[in-house]
Amino acid sequence: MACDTEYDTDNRNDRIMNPPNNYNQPISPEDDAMLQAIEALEAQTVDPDPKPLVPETPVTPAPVVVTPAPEPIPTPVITPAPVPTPLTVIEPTPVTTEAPTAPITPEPATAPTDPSSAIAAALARGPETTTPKSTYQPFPKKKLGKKPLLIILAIILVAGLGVGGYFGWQYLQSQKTSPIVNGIDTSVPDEDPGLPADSEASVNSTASDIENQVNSVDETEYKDETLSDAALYE
Amino acid sequence: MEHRLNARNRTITTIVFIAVATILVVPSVQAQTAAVQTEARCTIAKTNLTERLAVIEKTRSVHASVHSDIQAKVDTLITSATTKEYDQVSALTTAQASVQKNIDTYSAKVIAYTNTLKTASTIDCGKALATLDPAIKAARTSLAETNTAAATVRKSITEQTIPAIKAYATWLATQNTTPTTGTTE
Repeated sequence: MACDTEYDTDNRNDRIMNPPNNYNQPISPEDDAMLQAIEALEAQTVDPDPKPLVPETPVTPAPVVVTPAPEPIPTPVITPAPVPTPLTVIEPTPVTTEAPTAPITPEPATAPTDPSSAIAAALARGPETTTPKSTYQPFPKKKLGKKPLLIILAIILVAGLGVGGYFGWQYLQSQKTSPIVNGIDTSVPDEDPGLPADSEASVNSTASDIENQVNSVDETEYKDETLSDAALYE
Repeated sequence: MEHRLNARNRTITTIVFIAVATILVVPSVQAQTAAVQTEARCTIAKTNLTERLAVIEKTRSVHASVHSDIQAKVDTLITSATTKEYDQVSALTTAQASVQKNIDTYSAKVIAYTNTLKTASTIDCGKALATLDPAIKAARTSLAETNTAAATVRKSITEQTIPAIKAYATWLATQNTTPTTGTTE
């Protein structure tokens, strides 16, 4: 609430109408901050939708602004806009003779007699001020970079590796666990890695491996019963 | 009286007719029934022969893999024995050659057997029904030969290859102990 009282337009207008005689001195930081805040508020109120505001203000300055700023192009509107405002403000020019410093000139420019007309004048200057302030965004957009894409790709990659690994492991297990084909063990027994090559033990091991392989060979498919009448005609 | 005779003749005629008809018709019906049964048996036999052919093909592949592996092991041992100047390498090589010969015979017998099975399984049961029995007979003969060849391979490995390998192992054992005794002496 205290802040509202500070930015009250009446106080501001009072100060505008009764300016202190210290124009030859620079504006205090407090006043400067206040002015910037006011301008920011005006810009926020004007920037998003400047068109409906102009007709809503039934104030007299509106036609003044509208007439010099016809529809054609926004650039010509900017140049005539400041013309009427200095004309209305020229009255306090005697003051300017006392302090022709630069920061004082904008202050009387926004000093119409009526607060509503002041706001209207400020709104009328909207196109002039919107150009630089139109880029202002109270909530800056978050730029979506490549991070989400990389995360998605990483997830897909991990999932693919997982699925591939699972099926690969299943395949390897099936290869290991199914050496018996048609009842015959086709697996080749591994040599005992502990045995030295060409030793008595390794050769005996090879002999026993061969013996096991021969004994595991299934020859029942060559029995006569496989072509008996019972086997053929049943 | 005459009426009674006519009835009797009629009965006799009917009985004779039925008897003649039975004698003439029944054999043909029986023949047709037998033909149908034979054709059905042929179809069943063809199905079983086709299944048998697939089993034999698979068995032949498995046996070939086992035989190849055994021969490769023997070959490795022969190389090792030659390097070590084993004086009975010829026993190994002879056994290997004998086994290989039996394996080749077995392979040829299996191929012949599968061919007979293919022949029997592709008979047209409608037209060439008479060829089924000879084909099955040939398949049975080939089967017996294949069984003998497989047994011969197994026997040659058991009685030639394995003893030769064990003799080589024994020789290796003597080779390992000889230097130690020499040093102690």
